[in-house]
Amino acid sequence: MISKSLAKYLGFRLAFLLVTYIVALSIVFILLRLVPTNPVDRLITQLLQLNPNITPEQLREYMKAYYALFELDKPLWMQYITYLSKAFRGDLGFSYINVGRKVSDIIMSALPWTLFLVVPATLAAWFVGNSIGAYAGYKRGSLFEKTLLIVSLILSQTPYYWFAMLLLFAFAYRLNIFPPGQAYPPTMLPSLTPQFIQAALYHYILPFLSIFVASLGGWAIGMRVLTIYELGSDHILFTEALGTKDSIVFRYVFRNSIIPQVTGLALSLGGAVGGALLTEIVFSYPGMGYVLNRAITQTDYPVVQGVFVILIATLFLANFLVDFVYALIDPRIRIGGEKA
Amino acid sequence: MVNRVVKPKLIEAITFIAVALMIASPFYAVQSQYVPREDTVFIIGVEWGTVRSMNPYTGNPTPLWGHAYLPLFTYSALKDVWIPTLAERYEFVDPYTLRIYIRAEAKWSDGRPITAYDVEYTYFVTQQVGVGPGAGCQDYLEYIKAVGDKVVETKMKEPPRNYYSFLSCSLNFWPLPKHVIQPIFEKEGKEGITKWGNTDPATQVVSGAYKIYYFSPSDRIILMRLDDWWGKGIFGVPGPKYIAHLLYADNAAANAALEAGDADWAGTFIPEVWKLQAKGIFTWYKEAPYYVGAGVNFLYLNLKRPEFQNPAVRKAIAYALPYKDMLEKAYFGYSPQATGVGVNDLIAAYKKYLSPDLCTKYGLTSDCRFDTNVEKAKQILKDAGIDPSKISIEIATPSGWSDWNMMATMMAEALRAVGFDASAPTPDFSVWWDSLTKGTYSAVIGWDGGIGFDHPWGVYRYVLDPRLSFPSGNWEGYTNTGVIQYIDAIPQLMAEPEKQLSLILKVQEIFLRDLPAIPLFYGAHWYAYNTKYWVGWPGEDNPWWWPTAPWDAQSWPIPFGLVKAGQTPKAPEWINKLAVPTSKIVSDLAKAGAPAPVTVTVPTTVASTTTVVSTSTVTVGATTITVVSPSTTVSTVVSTVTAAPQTVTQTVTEWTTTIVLAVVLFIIGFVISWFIKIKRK
Repeated sequence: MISKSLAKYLGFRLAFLLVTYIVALSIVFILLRLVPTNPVDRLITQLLQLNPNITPEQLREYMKAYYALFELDKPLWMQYITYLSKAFRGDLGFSYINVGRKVSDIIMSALPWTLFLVVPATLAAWFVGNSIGAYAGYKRGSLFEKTLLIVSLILSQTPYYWFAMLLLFAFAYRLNIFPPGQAYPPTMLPSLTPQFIQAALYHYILPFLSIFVASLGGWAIGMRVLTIYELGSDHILFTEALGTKDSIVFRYVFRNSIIPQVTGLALSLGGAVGGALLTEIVFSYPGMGYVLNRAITQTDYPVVQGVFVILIATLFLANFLVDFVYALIDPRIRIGGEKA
Repeated sequence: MVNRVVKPKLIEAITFIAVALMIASPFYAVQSQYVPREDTVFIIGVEWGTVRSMNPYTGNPTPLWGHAYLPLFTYSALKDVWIPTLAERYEFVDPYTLRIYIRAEAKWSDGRPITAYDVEYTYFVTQQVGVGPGAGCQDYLEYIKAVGDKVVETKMKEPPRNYYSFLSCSLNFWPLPKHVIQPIFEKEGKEGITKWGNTDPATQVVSGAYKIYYFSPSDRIILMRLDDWWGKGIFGVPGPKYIAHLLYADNAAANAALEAGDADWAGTFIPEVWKLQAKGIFTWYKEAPYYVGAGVNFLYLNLKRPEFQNPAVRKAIAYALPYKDMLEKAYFGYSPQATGVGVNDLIAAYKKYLSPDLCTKYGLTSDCRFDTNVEKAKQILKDAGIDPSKISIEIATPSGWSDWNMMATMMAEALRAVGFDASAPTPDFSVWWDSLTKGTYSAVIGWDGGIGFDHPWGVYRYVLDPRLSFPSGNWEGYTNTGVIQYIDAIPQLMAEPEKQLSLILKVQEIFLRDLPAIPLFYGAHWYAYNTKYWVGWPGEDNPWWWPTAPWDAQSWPIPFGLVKAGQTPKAPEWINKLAVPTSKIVSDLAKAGAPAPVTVTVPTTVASTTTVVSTSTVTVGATTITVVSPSTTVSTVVSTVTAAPQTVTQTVTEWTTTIVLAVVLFIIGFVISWFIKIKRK
């Protein structure tokens, strides 16, 4: 039974969600249209440069057809309304530059690669970074801690795309140990065969490392500081005074200082859907970042909008559902809602 | 306290499921085939960002489309010849009517014959959609229709009686399978046919020797050879079993793949390409200029600005530019300086359009080029009484177009040496384009309409026709309406080559007198090949085919001449056997009977007294694209086709993909939010 207060709370949340969603979508819409060219110009440029003998008549027909097809000949407010209504129906539309191609097709073929790349790399960096950070904090003053601090500082301040380029240069172009890009070999097609998975993992190592190593330092530094704070807290001092084993103390410290890091992880995972933009570009990795980058430079409105609609919609929806679940579990939140 | 235990477990479980889903999802298309390296030609420099579809009704299909779909006739600029491809021959019924006979053996890949009805219907749909095979042809063609299963008839529209467009619209036409496009068009209309991807291996029906094999828009496209295609008796079977194209981040990454032997056929700009020869990578020429130049790139000065309206200023600029230096340093010597009259003399067939007498008369060298002569530039300005320091020239090039940027910088430097107040800004492409659209620019480097069998008329039309405006031509805003009669007359005189040539020279004289735009260089036709896996590539020493760039749909014969490295290549014999020179078509046309005489008043000498561009009252060029004749929609074309419904109410939402996407993302979003909530609590 959903109580009245719960319904009120959820209603309020839902309305709030709706408003934020519209605002976010509107910002995406407006920002794109502030660029002085439009996609038809881009298309025409492509056509002019690649077609050996395009006639003025063809150009005229093309421009006419494209303006009509993209509905760019309609007033802006109408475009805006169409866009909003489509965004709510889950219709991402069609690309302008890759004419006629469904945005959902493009995203569907890019998204898995991005998640495959970013999520494991971020999780691994988080896990390893926090472990060694905590250990360093615990072993304060040791050689390990000092080395780690310096290395981490350097790593955390290294631009990840630059690090990616260094990796590529050293391991792919100079040493020829790893392939210089792509997600899998040119001679293979995606399949669930062991050979393919092996090859994909082989191509995966450099991009993975570039994200992993570059974000490792940040986690380690943060965790070290948190651990040191935690070590100074009353309950740890008390535990130590009781003569508890080192390993147990360490576990207590770790548990307590990890919490802020969890939030940090959540935030960096939040960016995962957008892709590790520059890493993907450096490695020609067929992910969302690569698609988004090209779409922005080519003013391909629907693709950029599509990427953002998905990002915004899923994050908002997930947030709402978490709220909903918490409201069910925890009466204090409902009461809070009543007060509001 | 149960929470404490359950929550981490739950998070772990969700994370695990999410990760597993992600890892598995790229492989949902379960295909376990390999594309053996030695059986595949890998292409670079065609697709960026996403792979385009194989539907010509987008107006922007992937050029790899050309390997799967063949035209009636294919044009090769190298020897100025036409190859009967799907068609076997043509016949002039009268000077206005052409019949094209499709080969009896021509079949679609699903076994259905290729007929004149396919041609007719393809053109019909183009008329409805606006883009597609034969777009823009309605200005020049009365109709394209089937007069028999295998006979296509096209009729020229008069006026404007443009033989160039009439012939290229008729001969250079790519038909699509009617039995495939008709159901789509009739059911879903214009929208539906534009959004037809045509990349599904199960349903694609092609006319060429290759067919789609694998397609992933954010990743790659692979075509596979049809060993049993209908044309094997005539054209043979191409060497490579697969043609593959992978997306690369940028030119540098793509070129690295070529260098590493991961790619064979390049359409990219490669700096210092001669250094790759040691690795078995070559271009058309083994030494400079390495590439065959195609269209002419011009320095366009905004003629709406009063300071540029005096031809003396433009000529002084033309003499001041450091052509040789700039092309060597900024363009790696990939093109010689262009002729001062816009004719591409790199292609032997077009040399006949140059007149050394005319060029020297106007102060050019005998090979029709402007010297770099600062003194002469200064003298011209002095004679005209112009103070260059009062003229500011900003040569704008889009940011990141490094070759152009450097050229503009060098030009500005040279112009400053003459006394001009010159600079070379590099705005963002969108700003650059916007300034051209609005006419607010000062000077830009720009291209012309490219190269085709209407050369050099195509160049003059693009650069001089006052009825055109950016971006379809006349970037500079030339307003001399006196040139229109020549532009209109030249295409009419197809059957009278001498008369035609004399008119072309008249236009050249006007061009040299007014110099509305300054020809700089030929835009290189990017083409490099790697001999590691494939040999037999056309080049200067084995010139069996051109165009050669992989982004040119008319480069489809190239795979037919390739064999695996180690074997002896042999250029396809059918090219020379089948080739019909343009001159043959011209003489056939002349035999078809004399068309009504062309009424052009051709003065014996070009009036050279008036300074042409100074009359700003002529506002033809300022309006939007107004072209030769009013476009009339073709409603009289055919009786066999029924018009598709014009308004289609489409509320199809891609629910399946959207839902799958949403679910996956939702799981991730859920995890993220959960983490955040834990913290907040």
